[in-house]
Amino acid sequence: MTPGLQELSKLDRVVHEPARLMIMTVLYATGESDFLYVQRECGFTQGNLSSHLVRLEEAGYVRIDKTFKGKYPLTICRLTQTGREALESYFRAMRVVSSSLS
Amino acid sequence: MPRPQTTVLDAEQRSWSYWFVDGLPNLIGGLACVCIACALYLARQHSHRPLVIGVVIISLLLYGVILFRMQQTVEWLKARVTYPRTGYTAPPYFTDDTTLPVQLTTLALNEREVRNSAEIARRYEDRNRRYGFVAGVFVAAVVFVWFVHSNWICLAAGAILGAATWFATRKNGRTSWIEVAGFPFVGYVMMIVRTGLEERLGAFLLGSGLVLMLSGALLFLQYLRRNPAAHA
Repeated sequence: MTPGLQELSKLDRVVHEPARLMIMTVLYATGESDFLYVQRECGFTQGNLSSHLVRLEEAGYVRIDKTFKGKYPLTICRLTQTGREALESYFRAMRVVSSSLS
Repeated sequence: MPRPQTTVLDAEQRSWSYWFVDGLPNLIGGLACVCIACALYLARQHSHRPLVIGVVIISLLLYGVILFRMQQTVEWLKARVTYPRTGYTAPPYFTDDTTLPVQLTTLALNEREVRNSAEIARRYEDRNRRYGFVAGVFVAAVVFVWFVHSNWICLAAGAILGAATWFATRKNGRTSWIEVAGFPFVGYVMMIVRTGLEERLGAFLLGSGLVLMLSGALLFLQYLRRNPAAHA
């Protein structure tokens, strides 16, 4: 097996799932966003986004805080340091795979 | 030639532009200019009528609140209009432009994306500097309009301010042609009307404020039309 393909087996499956990858990418780029913003950016339904966020929170990659801006309740989502490192390491692994396949 | 783009930097750029998407920052900035122009104009009347004094005090207070609490004022409005409709993301002043795009380039999948990311990072790096540059040009334009006798200075100041606005916003893809054309128009009108030197500062601030407010109001209406309030 080529080293590039071996990298595929080491990929973090929590991050590798396309919907979660989208969520983590948006949160990495924005710093912090609320539930509605992420939902609109990714085009998910509420239930879908909610279940993926729970999975990411359980993995320790996302922190979710309930807060208020004025009277408007916000569910703020942020990547944790572990989440940022997991995403960066995922992209590094994918670069290795991509270069070995091309 | 199409502009290079990557998913991550595209998301970052959209979140950065999100602050301006509803036109509220322009609307409030314009209102500040109109308030101070109003106060300057009425103060020059030397009127002792309580109504005039009241309007001057209210204008100055409103100007002070907007000047020192701009971010909070815009956020207060956004919390009632924007966040319930399209959500909240960290405002641009939370991001450090000198490091963020560089970090984002780590999320690239191949050499082409790395090169694209580096180019985009260079383009984004000076976003805040460009807005600072417009603010500087605005202050310089106000000073020149205030002190230089020739009427031509009004047109020159308006044209330079319009050009600076175009220069600062063209790379972010959010150029407002109302502002780019509006500032020179204000200068042109002031030149034609031959506004007196003592009235120029107020007139220029009033004109610029109205241009900003018009641009902001149109953006705001477009935003409301595209994003109607969700029904419970």
